[in-house]
Order: sequence, then C-alpha cells, then structure tokens
Amino acid sequence: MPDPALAVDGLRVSFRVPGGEVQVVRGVSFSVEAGRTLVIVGESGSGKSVTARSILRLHGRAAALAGEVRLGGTELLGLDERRMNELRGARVALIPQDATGALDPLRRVGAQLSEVLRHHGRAGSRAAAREQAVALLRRVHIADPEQVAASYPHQLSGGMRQRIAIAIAISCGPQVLIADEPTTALDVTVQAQILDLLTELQERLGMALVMVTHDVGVAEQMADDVAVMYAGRFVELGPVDAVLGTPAHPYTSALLEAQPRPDVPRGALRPIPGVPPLPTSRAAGCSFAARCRHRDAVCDDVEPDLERTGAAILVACHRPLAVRRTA
Amino acid sequence: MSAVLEARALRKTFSNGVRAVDGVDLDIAAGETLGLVGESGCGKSTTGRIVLRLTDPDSGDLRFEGLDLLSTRGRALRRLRARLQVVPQDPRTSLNPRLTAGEAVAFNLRAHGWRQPRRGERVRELFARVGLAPGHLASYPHELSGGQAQRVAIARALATEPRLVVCDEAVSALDKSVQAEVLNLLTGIQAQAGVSYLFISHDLAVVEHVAERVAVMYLGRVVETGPAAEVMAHPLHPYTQALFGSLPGRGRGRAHAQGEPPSPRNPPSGCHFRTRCPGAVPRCAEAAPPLVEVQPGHRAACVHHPAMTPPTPNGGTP
Repeated sequence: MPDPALAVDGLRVSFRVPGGEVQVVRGVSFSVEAGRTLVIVGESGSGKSVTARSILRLHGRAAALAGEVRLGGTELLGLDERRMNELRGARVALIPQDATGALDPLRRVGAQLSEVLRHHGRAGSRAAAREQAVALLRRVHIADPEQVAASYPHQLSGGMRQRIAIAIAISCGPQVLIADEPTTALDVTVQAQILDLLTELQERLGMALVMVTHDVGVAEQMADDVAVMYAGRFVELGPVDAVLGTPAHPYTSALLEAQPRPDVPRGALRPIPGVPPLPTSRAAGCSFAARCRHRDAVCDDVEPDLERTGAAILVACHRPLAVRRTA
Repeated sequence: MSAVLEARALRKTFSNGVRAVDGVDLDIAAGETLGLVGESGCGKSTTGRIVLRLTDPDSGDLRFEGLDLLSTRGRALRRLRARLQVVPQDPRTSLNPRLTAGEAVAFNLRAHGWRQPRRGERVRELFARVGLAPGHLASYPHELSGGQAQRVAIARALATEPRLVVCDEAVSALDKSVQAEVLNLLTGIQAQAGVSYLFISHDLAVVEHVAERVAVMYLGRVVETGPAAEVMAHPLHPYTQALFGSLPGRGRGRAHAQGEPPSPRNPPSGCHFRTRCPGAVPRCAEAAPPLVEVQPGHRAACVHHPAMTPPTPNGGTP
C-alpha cells in the first residue's frame, strides 16, 4: 500500500511556560489519504489548532514537538529549518483563519502570490509569475483577477481575502492542505461559497485536506472522517456519518446535544456541566470524567486509549455509548 | 398582548455615509423574544443601539411601554434605563476589569438608587438566580470563564428588573457546550420574569431556538419578518432563503447567494438584495418593495411574491 498523503503518529506538543512545560497536544495519531478530508472538531483550548499548525511546525522554538509527522515518505519533525522551509507552502500549505492578518497590508495581492511562486521556483521570470498569479486568482473564482492582483488587501472584502489566501495555499500544488477555521471569520452566505470552493479545488487537485473547526455543521458538510478533540487528545475518530450520527464517546454525544436546534423546546438544551481541565492541572484518568454522565470508578484512575470499537470508529472511553446500546 | 417596544421607520446614516438603518419597523410584545438576524454590516447592532438610546436615529419613532423614547432625556432617561438593559457580546471587555463581579452588579443597582444593605442582598440574590456561587462575588473578570462572565453580565442586566433586554450577540463568543447553558438561563428567566428580549445574532440556529418571532435584516432594511418556525420552514424572501440555504451541514437547502453584500455606503437602488438575487428582474431596481403580509404575521419585501404583483397598467387590480 502506498504511503498516505499525511500520517501523524503520537504527536505531542508542549509549550514552555514560566516554571515548566505545558503539554497541549498529548499523543495524536491519524492519517489522511490523497483526496480525502479529515475534520478536527473541538472547543476552545482543545488543542485542535495547535495540532494542525504543528504539522507545518509553525510554532517554531516556542513549542517542543515529539512523535512523527510523515508527509508522503518524508518525516517532517526531524528536518532542519531550511529543508522545512522548502516544503512549507510547496508540499503542505496552510489556509489561516484570519486572511486579513496573513496577508501583507503593504503589498499588492499579485506580488504576494508571485513571491510564493518564485520562492518555490515555480515561475522563472517576474512576468511569468505575474501571469500565473492571475491564473490562480481565476481558479479561486475571482471575477476580475487582473484588477484584484493590483489591489491591496484592505481594498477587498473578507470573502475575497480568504479566496486569495486559498490561492496562495494551492499555488504550488501541495499534496496536503491544512485549513485552520478557514470560514470562522466569514458571514454564513460567504462561508457557504468558500466551503464549496474548497470542495471543488480538492476534487480537481486531489489534495488531502485537514480542516479544523468548532462548528459541527461545517464538519458534517466537509468531512470524510471526523476527529473529536478534547483536552489535547482525540477522543473519537471515524467516518463522519458514524461519529456524528451514532457517537460512541460521551463527549461527542454531549457536544451534539448542546447544539441549539429548533426541535428542542426552549430552555431544554443540554449543556455540558463544568469546564474542561486546564493543561496545567490535569488529573489522572479520563479528562472528561468530571463532566461525564456515564462516569465509572475506572474513569478516574486510568486514561483510556483510542481503540477500535465499532467497524470503523476509534474511541477513547471505558464506557463507549454505542457498545452499551448493542450490549 | 401589550407592546413593550414599537419602532417605526427608524433611520440612521453615519457621518461616513454608511446608511446603517434604512427604515426599520419592529414590534416586541411583553414576554416575547424577537430575533434580529443578518450578516455583518446589515445594521442589526445599530438598531439595537438605537433601541437602547445609545445612538440617536436621524428620524423615526420609538415607543417603549407606550412612552416616546426618543424625546426622553436627562434624568427621565436614566430612570427609564432601569427597565431597558443590555447583555453585550463580550463580557470580558464589557465588565470593568477593576471591579469584582459583585461590584459590577452592585454598580448598576447603585445607579438606580439601591442603598445598602438592601443592595448587597439583591446582588447575592441575583448571583443565585443566574447560577453563580457566592464565592464568585469577589472574583475579578479575568478570573472567570467566558460562561461565568456572561452570567455576571446577565445578573447585571436583570438587577433592576428590566422589561426589555437587548442581547447583542450575547452568546456568540461562547463554546456550544457553554452557550447552551446561557441560553437555558435566558429562557428560564423569561419564563419566570416575563421579560422581553431583542435577541440580535448572526447565528441562525441560536435564533431559531430562542426566538418566537424573527426579523431578517439586509443592508439596513428588514426584508422578512414573522413567526420564527414559519420563517425558517417557509422563507419567502430570496435573501432569507439564501441565508438558511447557506447553513453548513447536510439536510439544509443549498440555495446560495451570489457574491458578497455590497457596501452599505452605496447600496443598490430599489431592492438592496437584487445584485445577489438569482431571481432579480429589471423591476427590482425601480423601488424598494414594501413589507407585505403574506400569511398572518408573516411579511416579506419582494416583488416576486404573488401578493406583491403590481396592478396592471390599465384597469388596476380586480
């Protein structure tokens, strides 16, 4: 079997803080094949963005990374910075949440696109780069690409800027695209257009897509596979229909039940009691135990591993829901 | 049902030329939640600020419990504000970082003439009501989680027993698991105290859950209004259809709007949505279609609706 486009194995990420280290990602493993989409869903502080950004090693020296990240056959965590710079943007690229912050406010859009192309040797001359930049803008369905290429970011709308960030990300034909909350800052009608664009580009270019979101609806629409993240670990991983349709982990189930829906009477939403543990004060046992309705004595003592339960779902729980239902 | 708030033809153009609110009518009954939805720049927050008398409209009429709100000023307005409160979006920036949670709530009470020891008792009572432990009375905002801070903001808003609370994106900054808690709290308080909410939000799922009636805004105008369930199930205006069709996830419609909203400085003539509307015809550019009642209480502003068919040039309508 060929290597998957991206394989992450036992990824751990720690940040240095005054008086020690805090582990924010605590052993995350997954793989994504070409043309497939993995969506990582989680709430604030779950470690989903850190996971995604660590694949590109964007935290620099601030973070200590352990484990393995393999891009095709290349292991990334051991590469020197120069070699990593060659891969970043070329074979694996990022679509950031905030395109406004990611673009240089003082340079025209076309120049910023050309820079990436020339840095990775995808365009010989300046003129060729300029032409390619315009073609890329057209590919992300910008109606008047010449004019947009000559514009500064502040002259464009939020949706347009996100399209440009996507154009930059796909400019060198990466095998893997990392999208960190790519539509969170956008209005819902524009979000729909951007999600459609991502789906279309992926179908055409066959990239593997790893997308991070807090929005279950976005996950449902985009994912082949969903990973649910809580307190620095995946608690559930599997095909989207299984994970969001018949969740096995109590956290996934609770998260879905907390979503406001029209069929739930007013006042009858089911919040998740309590708050996630801080990375600085994690107790032994399952991180979700303190908030879990199905908690058992064993949950306080032993942290469960991500294990196969149903046909395709991996779940980290001593008392997974689906198993109990069939038992 | 008596109206708590009646707004008629509110208009506000800012000095930079942005026509934020362009002829908005709103009615909110006692104990009712009106959801005001729309995308960024549609004027929903400005409308909320006008209702709160934080922004003066250029023209229009605003009645709060039958009182002319726009001509009320000075001490009378301050007194009236006890009954008209706000829960803002981000509790961590709306709470004074140098006041404890207890002091923040007491501050509002003091402004409305509550004296000790009654004031302190009232603060403790409010904390219990919003589900905050007495231990949090002495907490500073930075020591609170987002959900706790929002409870403090709600306790502060409820302190003076308001009749109307403007919730401006009040749960948008919260994670869903916490958001559910705060939504339950808001609806529970309403059931108990009969307060009305003007619930401003960009999040359709939240509004669908919390509001009895909704008003959908686009570029300064209400394009559709009606019972929440009815508007969500049978949206009449193409913008409303596009808005709900854009909700991510399966099982929703997929009618997307084209392009992005034009600048509110220079909105298109006639129907503001026509430049993105799949069904636009030349007539749409001529005049802004008025809100027309299609079903009882369900109004939409679109030339395409049968009820909107104009009289024939010769002879008029039968």
